[in-house]
Amino acid sequence: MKNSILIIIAVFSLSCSSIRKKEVLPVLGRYEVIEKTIDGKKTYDSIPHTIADFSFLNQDSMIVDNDFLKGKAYIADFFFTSCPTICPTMKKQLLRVFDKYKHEKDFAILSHTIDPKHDTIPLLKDFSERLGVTGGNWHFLYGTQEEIYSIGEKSYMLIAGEDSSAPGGYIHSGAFILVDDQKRVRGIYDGTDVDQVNILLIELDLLLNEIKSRN
Amino acid sequence: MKSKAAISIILFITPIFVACSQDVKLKQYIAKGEELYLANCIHCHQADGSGLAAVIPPVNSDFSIKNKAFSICVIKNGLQGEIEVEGQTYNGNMPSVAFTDLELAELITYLNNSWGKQESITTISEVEDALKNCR
Repeated sequence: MKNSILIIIAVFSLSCSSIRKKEVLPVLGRYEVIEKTIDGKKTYDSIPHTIADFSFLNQDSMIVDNDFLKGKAYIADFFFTSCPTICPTMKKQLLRVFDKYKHEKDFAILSHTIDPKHDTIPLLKDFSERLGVTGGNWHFLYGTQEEIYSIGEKSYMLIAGEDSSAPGGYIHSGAFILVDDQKRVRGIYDGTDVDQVNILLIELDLLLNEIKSRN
Repeated sequence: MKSKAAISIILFITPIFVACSQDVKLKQYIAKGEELYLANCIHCHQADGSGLAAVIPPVNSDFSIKNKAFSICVIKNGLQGEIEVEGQTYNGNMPSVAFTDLELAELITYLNNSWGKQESITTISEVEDALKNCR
């Protein structure tokens, strides 16, 4: 009797731990079905949602585009330097990620300003230095309002639109979006929540291992 | 004889009562100040009062004890331009919040009794005096 209880407990705890721990991160977003013709036969294939091509300038006026990100995983977020609401907390959390991975060559952080009128490249440079970000893989990206909104809404699936009634004049999501080396979204985390960022740190390791095994 | 005893009891109890009510008032100010901090300040200055690198100054140091009048003015009127806190220069833009004098007293009392700091209550009259001399 005692033994059978122990076995039941053991089975339960094993099954629980296997549920909780992800070994491979899921690919998020809607799949698109495409029609292919192979040897005269029509076949259908589903391809995952990917981030559209883009090209932005970082705080050092360096181009950050798809070529630059080849073979890298990255975290994308949206912010503006004068934001009085969730941005400072998001930056505090991203600093945790940066401190752990700043020397990782297969990784980058892309922080897009959604206020290019105010956040010029020199201002982004000053902001990054004030955060203590120098010589690492954290890029503060500058682009036109249209480019930012287009990539934000269409590719990253979040709201980065202008709303003059919100504090700071903009609304934006506090999400950190984890993208893999094949431009697929592999995780979305609340960048204002310490626990969510703890999960991100664990899952980023998984993704980096996956990328290393591919290269 | 009886009246003497009564007087001595009153003399004995009154200071305790006054001390207790002061203590209760301090606790009330801290509790209300914490609410105000959570609603208005925490996004930038963070839950642990540490601010953000060299972008947003910390409020967990004894700056607001040493520079109380100045701190009251900054909380009330906001701040644009440079400020030095704990040897670090910051150059941001802090928005003003339309706090009442009582709320300012509660908030400063909270700041100066949190994160290991212990100071007595900041009164409304201290706040009024500080606000008269804001630069």
